[in-house]
Amino acid sequence: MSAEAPVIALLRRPLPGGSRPTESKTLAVTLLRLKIFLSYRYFFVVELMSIVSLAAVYYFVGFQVRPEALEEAGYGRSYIGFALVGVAASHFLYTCISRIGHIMTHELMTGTFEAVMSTPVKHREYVVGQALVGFVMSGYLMAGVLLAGVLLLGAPLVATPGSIGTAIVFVLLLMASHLGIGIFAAGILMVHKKGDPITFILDTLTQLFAGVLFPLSLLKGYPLLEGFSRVLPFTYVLEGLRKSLLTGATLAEPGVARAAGVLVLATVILIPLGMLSFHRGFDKVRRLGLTGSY
Amino acid sequence: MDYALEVEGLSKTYRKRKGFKVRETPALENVSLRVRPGEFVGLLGPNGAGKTTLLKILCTLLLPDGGSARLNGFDVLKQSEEVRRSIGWLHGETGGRALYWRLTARDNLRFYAYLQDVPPRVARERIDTLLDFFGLRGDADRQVLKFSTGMKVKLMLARALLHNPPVLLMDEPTVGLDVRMARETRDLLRSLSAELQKTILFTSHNLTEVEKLCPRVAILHRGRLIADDTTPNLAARLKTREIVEVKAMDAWRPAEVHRLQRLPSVKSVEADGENTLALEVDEAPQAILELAQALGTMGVRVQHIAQREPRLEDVFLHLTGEPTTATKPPTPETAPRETPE
Ligand SMILES: Nc1ncnc2c1ncn2[C@@H]1O[C@H](COP(=O)(O)OP(=O)(O)OP(=O)(O)O)[C@@H](O)[C@H]1O
Ligand SMILES: [Mg+2]
Repeated sequence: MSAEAPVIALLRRPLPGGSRPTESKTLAVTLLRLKIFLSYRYFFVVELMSIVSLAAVYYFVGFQVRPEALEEAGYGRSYIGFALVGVAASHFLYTCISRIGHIMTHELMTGTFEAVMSTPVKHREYVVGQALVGFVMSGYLMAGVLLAGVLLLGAPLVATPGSIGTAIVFVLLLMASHLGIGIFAAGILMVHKKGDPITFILDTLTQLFAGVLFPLSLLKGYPLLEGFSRVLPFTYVLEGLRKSLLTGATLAEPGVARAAGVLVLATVILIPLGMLSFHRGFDKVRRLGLTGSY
Repeated sequence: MDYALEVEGLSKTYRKRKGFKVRETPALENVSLRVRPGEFVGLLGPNGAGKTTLLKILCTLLLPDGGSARLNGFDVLKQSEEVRRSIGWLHGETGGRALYWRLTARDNLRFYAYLQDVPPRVARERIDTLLDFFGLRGDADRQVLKFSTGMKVKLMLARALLHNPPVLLMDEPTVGLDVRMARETRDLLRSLSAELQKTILFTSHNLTEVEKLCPRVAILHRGRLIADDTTPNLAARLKTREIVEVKAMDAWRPAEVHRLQRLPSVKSVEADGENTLALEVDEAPQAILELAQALGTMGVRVQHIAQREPRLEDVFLHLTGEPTTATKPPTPETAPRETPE
């Protein structure tokens, strides 16, 4: 008989070596998600079209803020450059805070979440692995938007090694400082499944008060709103990105360095808070028996 | 480590808030169960008895309200990571939900091998061998969404074995498999237990299968463990009763079943396959006489009437004591017959 002999013989053999380092599990999650993305054949076409249309929309709304106001705030004179950086970064922001939650909800519904969580994967490996895919995809989109802006709309961006390097540092800080918020939102979403209040509220507030489409100096007369904009990490991301890409500033400039410092602080505070929310969400669904809810 | 599985006073009630009210569904009540390494235990129970609930607690996906459970020596609450390394879990009923349908079979297995810390070279070999065994080699590089239900279940089985865990939690692993594959899977599980001393907790609604496979059977009913014994011992529990099987030419009518039930020598009536009733009686020879007479007056055309040995199925129905299901079509509990192995 023994059609199963090969399986038994195989499993009888002892395993060489010990456990794999955790980073590669994070990477395994990332690669898996990337493969799923690429299995949708029209993905790239759709993304490219959305880049072009985004850039076009902001070209047409590009005449509402006076150049003087921009110049006073220290961002040069070009509104299209100003808005372009804001829009590109805010799309990235949306990805950072919604990505983990949305993929996780999808996995909860399809049942793979349960299967993955029954393996010795750590929560941080799972969430960071999922987030990385979002960063890669949005990074590509952001670069596309900026490039389209320069080439099609003639946005005057400063491209020196220093300005680009600084911009990259701020993109990394954008990911890091908003990763915690994304994980936090996922923890809430895990329990409630439908609706995503955190992402919605945060995204809206950020669009309005972090100065995506106008310089914050316009809020001068409204101390409450201005104060509010000062506690949003995204405000500092925009400041750093714009100072570097519009005026060629680097981290050597005190204002830029201060913005970076604030973002490092936000990262250090928000990631542990996010993980706490995720752990609690997981325990809640494990109590309710909803790790694989259909 | 004396026990591979040590469950002590485990309780679980599902709570769902509805407005101001909280709806409570008790699923496990004070369940205790000890399983030695290498044992192969069948976990039985009617739908909703709590089998899946117990298995999910053991694989750390569900938190119990009370009691404790250790698996492979690790506490399911405090050492969940070690527990997850020790188990191969499968929920056959979900029909492939553990898999990423947009990816290929091989990509799925490779991913889970990574998560289980199987070194890549070993993983490659295991994936090939397992895909071969389950007859999926030719479909290895096709997307899972193009697989049939049975193929997905096979892939989930392969997933559960990839990391060679000491404990297998098999929640209806043969559901959806065709006759041949179900049998090969049973053979595999049997060898895993006999030759590699895997501890196996196995649920199925196919009692013929459980009887053939599991030397020990535990029965859950409404969240309580109502029996836990060797399979022969359990069958012997019915030795004071005897079973008479009556097969008619036509389907039974409710009134007929009702009349049989009221005969003095008949203790209970259960449906047992196509047009067949299994009657629990005190003494078969006398009951057969009485039955023949009654059936004659009722005008039932009998194809076959005989005494037979009590089977696990009879014990199960006796213990879980639901009202007769004789006039309904065969339920999942009345397992489809298969040729003997
Ligand atoms: N997530 C859940 N929320 C609320 N009640 C649940 C949940 N999961 C299961 N139940 C209830 O708990 C009880 C036990 O269910 P369980 O799935 O453990 O039964 P089972 O023995 O596996 O049944 P089956 O043979 O149908 O698979 C049932 O009454 C079921 O309705
Ligand atoms: Mg079940």
